[in-house]
Amino acid sequence: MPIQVLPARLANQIAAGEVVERPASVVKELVENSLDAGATRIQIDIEKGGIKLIRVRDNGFGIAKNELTLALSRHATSKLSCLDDLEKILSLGFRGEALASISSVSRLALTSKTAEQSEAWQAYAEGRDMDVIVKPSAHPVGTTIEVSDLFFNTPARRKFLKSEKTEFQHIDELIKRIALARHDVSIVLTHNGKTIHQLRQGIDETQIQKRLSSICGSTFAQHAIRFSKEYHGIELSGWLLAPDYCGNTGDIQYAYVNGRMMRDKVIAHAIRQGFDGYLSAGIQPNFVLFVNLPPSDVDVNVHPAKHEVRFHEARLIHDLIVQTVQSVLEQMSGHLQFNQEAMVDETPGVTNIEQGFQPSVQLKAHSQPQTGFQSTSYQSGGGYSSGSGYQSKRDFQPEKYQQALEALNENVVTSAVVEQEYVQGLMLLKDRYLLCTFDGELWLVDGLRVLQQKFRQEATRDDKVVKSRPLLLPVKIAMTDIEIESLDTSQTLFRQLGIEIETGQSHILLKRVPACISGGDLSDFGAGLLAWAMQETDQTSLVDWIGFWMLKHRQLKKTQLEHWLQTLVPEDFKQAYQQCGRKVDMKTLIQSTFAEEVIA
Amino acid sequence: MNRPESEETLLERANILAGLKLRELANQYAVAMPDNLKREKGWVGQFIEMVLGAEAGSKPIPDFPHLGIELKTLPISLAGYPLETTFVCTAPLTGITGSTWETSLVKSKLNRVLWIPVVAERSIPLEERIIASPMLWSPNAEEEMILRHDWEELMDMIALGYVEQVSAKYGVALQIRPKAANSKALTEAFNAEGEPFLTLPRGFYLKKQFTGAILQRYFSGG
Repeated sequence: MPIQVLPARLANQIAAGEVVERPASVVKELVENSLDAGATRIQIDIEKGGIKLIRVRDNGFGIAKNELTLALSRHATSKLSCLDDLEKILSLGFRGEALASISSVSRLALTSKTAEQSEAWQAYAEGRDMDVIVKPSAHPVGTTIEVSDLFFNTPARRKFLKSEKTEFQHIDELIKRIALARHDVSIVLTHNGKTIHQLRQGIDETQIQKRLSSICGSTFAQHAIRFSKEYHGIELSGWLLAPDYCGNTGDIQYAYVNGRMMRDKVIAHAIRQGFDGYLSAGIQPNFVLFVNLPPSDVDVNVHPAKHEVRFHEARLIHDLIVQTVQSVLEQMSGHLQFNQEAMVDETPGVTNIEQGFQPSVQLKAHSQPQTGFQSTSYQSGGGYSSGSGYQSKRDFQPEKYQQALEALNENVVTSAVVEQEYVQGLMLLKDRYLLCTFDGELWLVDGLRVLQQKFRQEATRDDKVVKSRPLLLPVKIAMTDIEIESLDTSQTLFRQLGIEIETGQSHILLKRVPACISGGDLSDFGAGLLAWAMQETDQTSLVDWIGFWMLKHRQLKKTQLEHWLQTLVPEDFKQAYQQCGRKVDMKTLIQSTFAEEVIA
Repeated sequence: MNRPESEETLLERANILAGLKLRELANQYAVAMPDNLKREKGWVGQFIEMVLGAEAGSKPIPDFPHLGIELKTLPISLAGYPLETTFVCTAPLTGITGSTWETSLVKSKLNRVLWIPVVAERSIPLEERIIASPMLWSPNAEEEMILRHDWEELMDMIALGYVEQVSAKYGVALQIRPKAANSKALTEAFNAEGEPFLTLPRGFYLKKQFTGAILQRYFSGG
């Protein structure tokens, strides 16, 4: 094969491999873009774990129309312009790959409006060379990005996706992490139309506390100690959970460097060491830690996912964290040891705005406006590899299971209705008469007669047994010996019609009933059966009796009747219908107050 | 009780129990009942095992090894919904290299299960609790697929050292939870760096939704 330049889409798809690992990576890129664009309100809508749809809407600066095309191209960004900028990067993204990568493995539409523009524009990329198409659209100031059908063109990657639930959990976790770092942004997260998180802006101490509680749980919010410490331009702040409340899961272990979430080994190690002596084996520290330091002291360009950073003075940072953690814990446990460098809030909720948390990106942006986010184009790079690097092949379709479960829950018999479109039940009148369309005509059918037909049909099949269901709890009915005896004589008949009765000493146990009886007072069923058995012995009268019992207990259901009508033997179809009901027109129906009259 | 020689015998025996109160059954076998289950959580299960003639005890083989049938009592509400998750087996945390679903203990344990639901709402005293109809169950293709996917996902996490991150939230039908008499009993596992560490032993459990769906389908005649 000759050497050739790769088409744009293919190149982007290759790059997408390391940036876009799963729906959560897409969400991360999009939300970080929103934050870099100075948004104060972000709405994230997820459908089916992000596999179907990810929509992120913000009220940031928006992207000017003439930059929309560039926004979807690779290596195009507003976040830096020369290598020197990389040294003092403060925005979350900077590589300029994310949108192009995402758009190469999904259907991506970007709608945006800047304050200066009078109208909004929508852009999307198409085809092998990813030509960008821009068209007018409606949108308030800000940007909405819709990513649907993720990995629709990369089946290999799609296989790595886990169940919707798991994928959504990753997104949920990610949003929590972001929300913790940016109390100044209100965030709404929905999944399949249901609101999962609604996090309001946290401006004063109470609001921040409330937000912390909804993200990390009330235990954490109540028993974590807030701290803040500064040392030679390096700022450490956050919360530490009192060791007594730490469990073995370590649910809350959030570390941020300059507002960027990290899973950094240096930080993790330092915290563990700081907790040394306070936690017994297997117990994990719970903490939220913000490290803010001059951007020139840290290299974020280590990995596209930016989960690791390189500190220029790693040991200094490490030791600083160890010390801070130790001094906070000492204060907490009552070993008051005054430390001039440490400024520790002993109780959560103390109003101390100055020491309190401020999102680093914003703070620093004031001093270095040139690397801030005043420009309008909208490119972020990097990717998200979830810290848990477990993967395995699967082609599991959770929707199917969901559907199956729903079908089970509704009623087992409805499943066959879809096959034939002959009968469509419209409504059930007086718990008995089914108004339905059959063969394009309107019919009124007597449910009782349908039931009788159905039972006779089933009882004359080869196995001669009506479909029955076992009772989870057998119904026990006390009886005299004579009564039991008369019931016993009809046992064969009962079994044919799906009724199972076990006789004991001075009682019977009703164990199975016809499957169409889904409720009703079954001890009344047993008693009624006895009354029947004292007088009658033939099948017809038993079928009639069952029908009347079901009518009395409102057991004739629309879907059930629909299904029965559908499954009556085909050759008897017309005949069966004529026996059970008759064609009606609206006029007759409206004029007659009693359905009985119509059928008779 | 001697061991049942066939599936039919076993099911027959189980069917006879349906509808009986625990007191009635205990009287029949002249077995003394505890007042409550605080100290003997597994009493109901053991008692029914005895009545049906199970022999495996807590060994990692089915309760009726010659029939390949596992016995599970399932506490349910009066409405027929499971009240608790169902323990399947301990989750191996070490020595799991190369294990597959096909050879897993979970699969062999759930291959064929005789469910004995027992109405066990807290408000009902132990001796008044009623044994419900038995259900002999094997996972259908769909259920087995769900179980397999859950098992693979959970075992992936264990193998890659994320034992501590596995919460009961993972999995559609199966979940992994700590299983120990107290927080002192620890077992060995590996962390994300591949180093051994001590943690609580874990067990595989069936979620209530899953067992609930099985009951629902069976007892609605499906």
